[in-house]
Amino acid sequence: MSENATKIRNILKEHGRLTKDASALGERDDLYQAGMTSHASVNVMLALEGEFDVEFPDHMLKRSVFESIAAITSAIDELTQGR
Amino acid sequence: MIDRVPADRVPADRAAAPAPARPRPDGVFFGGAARPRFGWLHRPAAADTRVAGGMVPTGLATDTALVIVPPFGYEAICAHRSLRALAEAAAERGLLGVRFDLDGTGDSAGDDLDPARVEAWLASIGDACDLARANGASRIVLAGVRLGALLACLAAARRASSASGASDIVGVIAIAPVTNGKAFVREGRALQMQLGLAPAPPGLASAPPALAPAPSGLASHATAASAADDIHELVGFALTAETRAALSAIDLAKLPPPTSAMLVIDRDDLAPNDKWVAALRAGGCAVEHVRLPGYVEMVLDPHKVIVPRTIIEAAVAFAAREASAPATGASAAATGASAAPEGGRPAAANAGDSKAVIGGVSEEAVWIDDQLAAIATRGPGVLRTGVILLNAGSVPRVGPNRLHVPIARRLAAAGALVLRVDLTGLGDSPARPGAGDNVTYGTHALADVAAAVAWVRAQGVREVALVGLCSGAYHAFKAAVAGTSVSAVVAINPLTFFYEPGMPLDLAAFKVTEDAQRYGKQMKSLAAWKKLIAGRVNVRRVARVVAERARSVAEHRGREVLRRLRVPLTDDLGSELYALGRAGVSTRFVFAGEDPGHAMLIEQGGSAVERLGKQGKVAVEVIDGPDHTFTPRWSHALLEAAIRRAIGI
Repeated sequence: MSENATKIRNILKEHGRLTKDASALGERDDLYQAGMTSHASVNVMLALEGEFDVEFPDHMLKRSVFESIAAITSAIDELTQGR
Repeated sequence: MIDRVPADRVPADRAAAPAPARPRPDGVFFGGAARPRFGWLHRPAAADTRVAGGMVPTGLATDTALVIVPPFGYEAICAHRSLRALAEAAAERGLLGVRFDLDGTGDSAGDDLDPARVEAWLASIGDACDLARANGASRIVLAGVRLGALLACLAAARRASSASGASDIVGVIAIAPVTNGKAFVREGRALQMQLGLAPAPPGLASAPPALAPAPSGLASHATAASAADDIHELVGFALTAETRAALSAIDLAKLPPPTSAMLVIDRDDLAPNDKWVAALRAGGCAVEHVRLPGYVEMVLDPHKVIVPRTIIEAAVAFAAREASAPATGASAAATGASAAPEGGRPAAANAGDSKAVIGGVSEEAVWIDDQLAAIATRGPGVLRTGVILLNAGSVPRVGPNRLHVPIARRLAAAGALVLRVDLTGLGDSPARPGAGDNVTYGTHALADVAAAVAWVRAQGVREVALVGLCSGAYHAFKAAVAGTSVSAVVAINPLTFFYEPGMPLDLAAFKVTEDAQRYGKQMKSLAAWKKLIAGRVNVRRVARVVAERARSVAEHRGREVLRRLRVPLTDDLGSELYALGRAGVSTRFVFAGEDPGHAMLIEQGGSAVERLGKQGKVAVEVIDGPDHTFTPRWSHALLEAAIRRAIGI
């Protein structure tokens, strides 16, 4: 598991308000089906921004970007590319 | 956008614990005739020496008021119950508890789309402080929640630098504060996008179309659309480009701190506001900084809200401490000037009035049977029809997305008497003795509706229509079935026609219907089949839903046969629809396209729906696209139009 993925799981554990254990989720499991509400996803976004020192642009503020660990990882990779 | 309120999703602690009896607060309009705002005065019990009208200053246990500045939009809807509890707790500690609706929100005049929102919000905070002073307080502690905290800080600074040079603000409490307006706007944008709401259908602008000329002074959809070309929706509410720009320019860390003492109560689910607090301290402000649990539960959907007792206790303890401190410096000077509030109007004019004229229609805060809090709205003409707007789930009387307020004002302008009422245990109405608080399908709902109907009839109207969404639809329909004297029922998105306490939620009729509809759609989806093959589908759940659906279909087919044989049936929707038809009650159902209540009506009502439809006694209207609570703003006008068609106004 990549370092980023580990950090993402930790953030989901703390802010995602999931009904399932974040460490047991598959990379492509649907986080909304795992109990994450829209409000919780915003908190996840804020925590991700703090952790990775990034700002999600408007075009990334949509459900699909936060629907799975794989999707979040992809977004973070894109935002931190070239560092 | 709220989760649907199922029949029995009531936390056990709330249903079981009777609400304590408390003194009734006074609902008042204040702030002047040009722009009335609405608020509640929670007076200390020992000092509750109200006289007729209840608007004269009373002797308070202390000379201090806790003026509560609410958050914005959906957060204000969710936090309503907790802010009421905060005001009540303040009154119990001898403070005057004042809560109010910011300009353009709640029961106050105006709309999100009006110009100069931030300035108007700040002005309404100033007016609320004047209201407190005119009702006996000479010192004020401001308590703001979320955006309300940011506004409270600005208002306190503004009041301190006012012409008199003597601020009456002795404390500011910032609860889960927004400290940066730009971040708030962005967070709202993110939340709105996460909701994944349906866009406006082709041909319908994202801004609601004009319905009818709005009374003078009322924001109409037409003026709203032209005033704000770039509206960002925020969970049923709106921020115009101007409002976003004004908010984005505010960063509390870069502004001088309030001159009063401060209590910052950070939420425990996000990083604390350490930088802002450091900036406050560096600016010479005496700040207490704590991080407490409770914010998340305070802004859950209204039927799930848990009042944050820890936060309330901390806030009230701080306010009481400031109240007991000897007045010094500026606050002492301000105390001496208590007869001349900062707004410049004489005290009597600021003391509040139960009535106001807003945009040509009159509004009055009323208590029905000393039990039901309501706002009655009347137009200038002869009253023809009474319309009662019931709570949607646990949403207070302003309605989901504050829809009830503009609807009431426009219907009143068209000649109706409109009552937006809180049933007991909801909104501002206390629970009846022995009953639980915040219970959506309460056992007293029918009695509450009957009391509201009797009050409206006593005003002289001949016909009364009941309008409700979700549980409000259920109560409207059942009140008519029970024989309450009404001429029309408008039931919007009912989720049950027979409330069964204790029924497992996952197999409630609406849930089974909804799941079955979803499975039907997924049968055509390749992705869904792949998911099934990959073993990522809860097959046991699917099997249970299918079995329950089969049982339900068989039951209702059997009922249809028995109904045709004129066999008396209990708990039978078709029989109830026929009974309403015989009683001359016009029954109108309005559904958002995907809401499961529509399928339930067709199935449970059987042929009665079609037969009574042909007789004009039952009608069904479907609005495609919106969610259960009509969150997208483009759907608001469509819903209002459907209501107006149903009641003939």
